[in-house]
Amino acid sequence: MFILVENVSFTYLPNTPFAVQALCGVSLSIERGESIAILGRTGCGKSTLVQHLNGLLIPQEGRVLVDGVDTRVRGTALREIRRKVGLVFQYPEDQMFEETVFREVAFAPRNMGVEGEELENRVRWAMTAVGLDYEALKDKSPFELSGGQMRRVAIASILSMKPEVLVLDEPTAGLDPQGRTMLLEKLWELRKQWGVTIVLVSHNVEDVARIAERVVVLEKGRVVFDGPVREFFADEDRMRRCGIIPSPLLQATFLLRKRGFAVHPPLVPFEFYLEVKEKVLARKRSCSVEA
Amino acid sequence: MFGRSVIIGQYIPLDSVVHRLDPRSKLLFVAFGIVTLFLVQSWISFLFLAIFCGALACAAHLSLRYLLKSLRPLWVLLLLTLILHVFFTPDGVVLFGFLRVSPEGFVKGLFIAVRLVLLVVVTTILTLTTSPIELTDGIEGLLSPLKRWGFPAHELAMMMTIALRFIPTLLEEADRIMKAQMARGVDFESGGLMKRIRALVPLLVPLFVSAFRRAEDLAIAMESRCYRGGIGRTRLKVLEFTPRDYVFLCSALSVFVLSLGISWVLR
Repeated sequence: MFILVENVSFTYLPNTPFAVQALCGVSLSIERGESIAILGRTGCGKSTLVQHLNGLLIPQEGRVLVDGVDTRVRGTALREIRRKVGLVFQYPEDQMFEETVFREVAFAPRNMGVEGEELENRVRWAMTAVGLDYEALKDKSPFELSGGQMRRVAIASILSMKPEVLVLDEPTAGLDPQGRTMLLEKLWELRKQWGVTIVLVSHNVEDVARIAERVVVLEKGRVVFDGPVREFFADEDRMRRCGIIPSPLLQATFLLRKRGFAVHPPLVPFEFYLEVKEKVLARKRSCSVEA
Repeated sequence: MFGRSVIIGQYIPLDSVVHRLDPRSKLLFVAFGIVTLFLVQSWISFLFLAIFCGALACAAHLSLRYLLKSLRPLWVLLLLTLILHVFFTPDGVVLFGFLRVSPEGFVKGLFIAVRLVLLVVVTTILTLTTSPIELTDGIEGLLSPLKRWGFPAHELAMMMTIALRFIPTLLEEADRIMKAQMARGVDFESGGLMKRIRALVPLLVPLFVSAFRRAEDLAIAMESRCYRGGIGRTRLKVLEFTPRDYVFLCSALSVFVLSLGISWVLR
């Protein structure tokens, strides 16, 4: 396994009247190439857990191993952990500061000591991977871009480290439907084409249904569900207990099932969706040519 | 997430007579107290003032621990005052060479040290028992007579309130951005001075950007709620001088006058 979280507990401001226990005894393992969604209501410990995955927070109890290395290490080994596990914070465009998109995306690999042609290749690759036009945008200021573009630049600025795991905290928050779909498609492609493991933190059921295969649900700092997405979406009561509101389509299937119809939860595998989309676009093109 | 750990000022929310006093009367007490402490020249006056402060701290249910904690940053200064007075008072006894020790200087140094301690205690009683918002309200109340001559009392108080309100927000933001940049390989903790200063750029630029954005949002929110300065504005909590405040101020003033008198007589 690639990331192993073993019995991790974490309390903010321990031994003060303001102490808040964010995680208690969380265990989790993440394999290479998986795509996992971490779900849970606000304040359930999602963000705290995610910050443990690349050593930004160190467990007070238990341990976290990344590729066999304990996150308690310091120096270059810690840097290597942060490279392997790329963490995209919520609203990542808030952390941009460089004058050009190129410099912004090149910032992380530069910190890792990458230079010259390799640096340029990485920036080009990362920007292309999230669907940004390298030549057109590299010299622009990141602050001139649209919201969706800024978000993708911010994600590219993590991707340019060539992480093996990409952890994203609410990556679609505040994006319009097009930006949202675009981003999710790019994440899917990243996994399919480049084998990047995806860990998605979200409370948006639709996003999860689109790209996750496994669901981990946190509730008050504990893991209350860990299993295939299909299994999670089959049980309405459990979803609601975990504070997750099913999408309208899911609610419809739940209703139908209650009336005795054997319908499966509507999980459209993203691959299928992309294939259909491709075909529809192709037909549209041919139609317009004929006309 | 040290945003959660930030407690602005030192305010301890308890319920006591001193906490319930009008912030204006506490501010006046501090102002007169500071003036008295600087004018007073005798030990007996200090004793009087110390007893009064002690009584006040008791009435406010403040433990000695809190008062001592506020004195902690002062130790170096106190020690330095004492040492300088002991060694640099001209009428000292020569130890050897140029080094002289003066018992009189020691007493003088001790006197100034006590004065400093009392100054801090007086102001700490204010800040421990008054919330920052009450404080700004009190300052506005005391300064508002100056409005007649164009002094922006309300604007000043509003600025202070907003600044206080945004300190934890900005700290939380700084923490978040710092972590985000650490995830991108920035090392804030090691390297030489120049390297560390350079590492601050990726923290400060986004922080300023977001602070300006917040300021703009706040301005729009205030305008859309028809804020246009302090004229004709009513408040939720109207400051009110109660008999309690008059008793407090009168007793404080009499202690101050008494200690000034003693100091003048013993001069």
